[in-house]
Amino acid sequence: MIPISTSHHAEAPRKAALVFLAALAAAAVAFCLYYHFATHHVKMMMSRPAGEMDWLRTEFHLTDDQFAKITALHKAYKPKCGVMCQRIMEANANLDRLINDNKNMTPAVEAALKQCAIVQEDCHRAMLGHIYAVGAEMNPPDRDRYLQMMKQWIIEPRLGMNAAVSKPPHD
Amino acid sequence: MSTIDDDAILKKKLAAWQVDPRIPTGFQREVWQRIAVEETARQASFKFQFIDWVAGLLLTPRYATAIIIAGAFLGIGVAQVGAMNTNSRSMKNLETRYIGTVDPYQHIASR
Repeated sequence: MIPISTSHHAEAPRKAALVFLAALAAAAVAFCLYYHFATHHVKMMMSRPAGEMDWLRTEFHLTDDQFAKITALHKAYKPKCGVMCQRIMEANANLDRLINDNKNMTPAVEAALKQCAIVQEDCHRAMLGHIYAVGAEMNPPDRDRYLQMMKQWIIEPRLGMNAAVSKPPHD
Repeated sequence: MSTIDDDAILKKKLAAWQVDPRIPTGFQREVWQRIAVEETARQASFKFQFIDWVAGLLLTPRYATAIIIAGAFLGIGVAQVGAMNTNSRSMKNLETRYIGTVDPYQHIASR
């Protein structure tokens, strides 16, 4: 037998492929580790029931003192917000019923419309008061950014009547 | 009848048939020569030269280490982009949750 072997030539690419695989493995491990640690903090915030307050703290660079004051403001505002939700749903449900029962504009429908507008105004007033109070606890640049972010929820109309009517009353 | 006769003739011929499997002289040598020629042609082709060159580079410890480190950095880079997107989505979600605790209309809409 003539001693010609292809093993020598096949060996180098095989070993090189192993190096390449090792590089891929390093990439995969680095990806998993980095991704896990880079998203861990936000995932923890998402999983907590009051994660939105942690978000506020992170997003607006609140100190412990600022955060404590804002949390207290938030707790005081929460029942007011619940009452507002109740009033909105009742006003919307009343308007919804009157629209279904009447085929043209009646004084009752007009009164229901006015009631919806009054409720909306009360909601916006209470909400804006809370937003100002929270903003007042923040550093000026963060306060400005907070007000900028929140004002769109005061100015822009965003909720159709049906969304509020179809929901059960606020608990 | 002729079919039966044909079968008998065929059987007779098959019984008489003998195979003499003789490998030509130098068969093995010729096979190995052909393999050697193919091997030479393979080594000469650009594609395999390139593969050999890359393989040679990768087998150098310095380059092997470099490509593994580069792989790790690539993984970190891709993970950074992915984590930024995930965090951005999650932060937006938390923002919406916060708005829902402040804005009664948003609270109703999100239920």
